[in-house]
Amino acid sequence: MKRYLVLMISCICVFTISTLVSAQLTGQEVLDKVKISTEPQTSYVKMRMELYSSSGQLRRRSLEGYRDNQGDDKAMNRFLSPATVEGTSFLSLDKDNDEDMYLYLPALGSVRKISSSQKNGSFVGTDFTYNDLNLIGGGNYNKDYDATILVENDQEYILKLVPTDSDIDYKYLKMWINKKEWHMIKVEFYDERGKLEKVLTPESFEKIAGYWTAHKSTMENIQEGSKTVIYMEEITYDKAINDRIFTTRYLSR
Amino acid sequence: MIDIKFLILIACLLLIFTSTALANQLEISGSLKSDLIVSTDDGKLTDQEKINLVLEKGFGFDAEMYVDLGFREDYNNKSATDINQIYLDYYTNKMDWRIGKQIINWGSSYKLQPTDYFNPIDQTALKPLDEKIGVKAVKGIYYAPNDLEITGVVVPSFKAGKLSTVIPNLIAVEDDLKNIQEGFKVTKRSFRGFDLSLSGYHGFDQNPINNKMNFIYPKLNKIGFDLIGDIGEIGVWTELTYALYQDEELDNGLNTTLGVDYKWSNDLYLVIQAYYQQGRSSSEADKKMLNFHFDKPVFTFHQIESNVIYEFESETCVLEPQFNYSLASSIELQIGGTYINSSNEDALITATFGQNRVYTRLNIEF
Repeated sequence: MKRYLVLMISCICVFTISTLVSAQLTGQEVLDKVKISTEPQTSYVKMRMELYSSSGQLRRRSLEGYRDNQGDDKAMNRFLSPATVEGTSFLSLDKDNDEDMYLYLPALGSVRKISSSQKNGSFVGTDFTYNDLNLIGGGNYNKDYDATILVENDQEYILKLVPTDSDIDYKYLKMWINKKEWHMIKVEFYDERGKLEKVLTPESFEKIAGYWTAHKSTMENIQEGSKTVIYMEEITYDKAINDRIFTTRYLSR
Repeated sequence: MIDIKFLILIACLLLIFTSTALANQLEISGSLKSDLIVSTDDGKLTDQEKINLVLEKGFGFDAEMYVDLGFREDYNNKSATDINQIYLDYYTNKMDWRIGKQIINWGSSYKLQPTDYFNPIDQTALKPLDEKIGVKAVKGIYYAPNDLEITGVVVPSFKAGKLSTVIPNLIAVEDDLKNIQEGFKVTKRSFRGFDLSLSGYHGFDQNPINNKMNFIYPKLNKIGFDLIGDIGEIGVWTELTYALYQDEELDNGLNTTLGVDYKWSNDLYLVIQAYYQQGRSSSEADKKMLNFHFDKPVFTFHQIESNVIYEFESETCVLEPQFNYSLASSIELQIGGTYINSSNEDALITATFGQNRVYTRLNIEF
């Protein structure tokens, strides 16, 4: 009888430990859960942007963006206003971890391939870089970073994301994840010297077509004192997008 | 100053097009540029106003009409109206057609583009290399599988550039069927991270040359190659053409560029480009140039930029600094200058860039 009791207790211990171990997620698994919770297969969004300078001056812009995350990542963004940038379009095609980026400027009337160094520059004067847009636009960013868990509590995970893509110039990112809904609630961007450069705060979350979506995202540049606020105004998820939209031909239309 | 007739004309056009736009969903956009230029050589002050009105009308998903009208008035109250571009776009399943007066931008290089065969530049403009003149043409692009594009262009009549100085005994090219220009380009996109193009052209040299006491636009054939992509994070491009002149007294020759660009995370953008063109005759020297450009946003909405071109043969340096001050959305005040330092006043590059000057330009886009 005593032997059976010891065997039973041992089995219970082994089962409990294995359950506990399997419940402990890795940083990458947390990112994967966020991806499932926030990243649609395809998306079409209309965005309104407010750009604030350090002295409080305001400029407004609006743009539309198509994205297809099935297979190779494809994204097309086009500015709708104001007149200075209207019609300016970007196409990004990710093939086998090689990204081809094209820019169409109406004044030039031609499509030009742009270098990958432009991905770390400002996205048309905003506080977002091309790479940062992946974080709010449902891009497949989890493959560009190596994630480890810094803190875990009842409400959230805090992750440290170190870029694995050499095209990303940040030293690392700190990302706060809502544990219940599996979406980010804050991201801090640290520059190459390890100093805090920018803070992204997504808010006004709503579940649309099964995906948690922030209606408002604020990117604050701590070093420059400027900020950009993006409002999602029209959102369509998982509706088939014609593949022709992600071509250089469509870029100039 | 803009005279009253000119203003009434603009007001009437806007009124007509606005009401038409409401009825037919015609898109209207454009710009107003007001320049104040001071020649630092003789202290002469000139002003110039330029209005561009762009009208666009879509016909379903298959066709679009585009009209770019230009109204210009200079310091002598001389006004001119131009149709910069007017064309019809027609889209089929595999082909895009463009018929009418248009700008055909070929080439990946920065401003100096050897494979940009068709459109001449306006040397009288404040920024000559940015002001291309439209040509009447038919252009067709066939989109083949595997990211392949085949473009064909036919330009029935030759259009010469607007020259900043009068060239004596310059013989114009006749409007004749035998002077028709043709070009083709085959482009392969995303080939191991590069876009490659092979092109051909039959027509005339845009730069006149001295030939037996007369200046002529020599007839030629060109073959060209164009490549753009990146190595690491640095953008690289090269363009190359070989010109075959029909006049046996002229020397066939090479024209090439090689350039790189890079954008730092603080948004400083830098371009460095080398340019080479073989002399077209024994009396014409080879042209070797270096071209630098940088731009950087300052205080979020404003920008500083500068172009520098150095021509080795005539030891000419052209410096074009500019500060763009954003007054509001789509309203910008540009303050800049052109400084030319040359040991040879007759150098072609001096004629292209005009004179030493400082200027302000108020640019309103709508």
